[in-house]
Amino acid sequence: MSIQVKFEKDMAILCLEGNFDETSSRSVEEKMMECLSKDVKNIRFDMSKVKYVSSAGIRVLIIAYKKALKTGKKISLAAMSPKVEETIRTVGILPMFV
Amino acid sequence: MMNMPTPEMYMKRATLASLYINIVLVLIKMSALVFVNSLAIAIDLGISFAGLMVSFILYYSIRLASRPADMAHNYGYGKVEHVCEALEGIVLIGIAVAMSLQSFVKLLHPDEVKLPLVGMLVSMSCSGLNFAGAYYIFKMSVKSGSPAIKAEALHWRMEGFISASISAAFIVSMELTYLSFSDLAHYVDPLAALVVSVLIVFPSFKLAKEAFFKLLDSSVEEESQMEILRHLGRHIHSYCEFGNIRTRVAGRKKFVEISVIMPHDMSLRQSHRMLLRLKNDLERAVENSDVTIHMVPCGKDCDFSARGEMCPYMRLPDSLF
Repeated sequence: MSIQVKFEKDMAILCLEGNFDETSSRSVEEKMMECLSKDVKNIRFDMSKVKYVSSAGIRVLIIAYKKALKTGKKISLAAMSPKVEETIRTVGILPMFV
Repeated sequence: MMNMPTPEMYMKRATLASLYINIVLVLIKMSALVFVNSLAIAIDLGISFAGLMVSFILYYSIRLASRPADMAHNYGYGKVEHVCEALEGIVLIGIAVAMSLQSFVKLLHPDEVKLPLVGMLVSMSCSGLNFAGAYYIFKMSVKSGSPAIKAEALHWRMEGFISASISAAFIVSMELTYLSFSDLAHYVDPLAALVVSVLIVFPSFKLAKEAFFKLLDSSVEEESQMEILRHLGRHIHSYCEFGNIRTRVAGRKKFVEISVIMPHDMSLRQSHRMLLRLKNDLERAVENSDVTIHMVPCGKDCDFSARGEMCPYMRLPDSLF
């Protein structure tokens, strides 16, 4: 999976491309922690090029939500494909990211 | 009032069916081999004989796997099911390798197959028995959730295809003899045996490999992992953080271990009550699971403490969702 981080005003955008699974979740978690330590208010996961989210990816999203709550930041998920959105909705964590 | 069948009862039914049908198959194939000097039938007999041995082992393994945990085996005997799966894979690979070598020898010195019609009829009826057995055992594997029984059902289906292809080879051989190509017909039997041997190597290798990985404490399947996270999400406002999630499979049993950080100032009683709710939810959601939650107190080194704010998780709402 390729991960690119962009900063726009008070927002960090993580652009993910590929499968958000066991192999990529660790790098996404590291990038997400980096973003949380920066002086931004919002962190957005650009999911437009994510084909699949596994349980390892869901775990990172829950951790991201918890960490963001502590640091007073807001996390959002953008441009999810219907399949990815369905997975996240089924796990019941979609309301955390709206 | 009638007792509902337990998973153990379904497993016992499957192993007994496997045992009895295998005895019938071995007897039929042994009798056929006396009249039909076919290498393909010899391989088929070898496979059924291995199947019979595995059925015996499976029968005793299932009884062992159903034993509750004791002082010597604190996590139970579930892993014996994976040992059985691995054994089945190894035995089948062994037969395939031995028979491939025999097929090469026969290809160099081909023999005439006697009574091919008998061979065809025997293989066809064995194939039917195999498919019927596979159907029944697979139904029992779904009801019991046992990986070893599922592997047995796959083995039976594979045997069904093998017998069916051997009976097709007899038809081809008879057809070639009828068309006056009897020299060519002599090669059909060792060729069929070789193809069957190669075909059984791949699923057997996969079966053995998967069983070995399960013996190395493989994690629970994706569906159960999602269930664990769904419940951690549902209880998200009841704990500070979660750390390691470790899972492993032992036969039908799934073991889940999670470290959960609880607010520093929450009483042990409250924390325990909270985590017991999470544990019970997880055990209901993940079938045949045994969940252990390690409670870790917050070290007051979080951002809320740094900002001098009260820990929001002290308020203890059950869940937002």
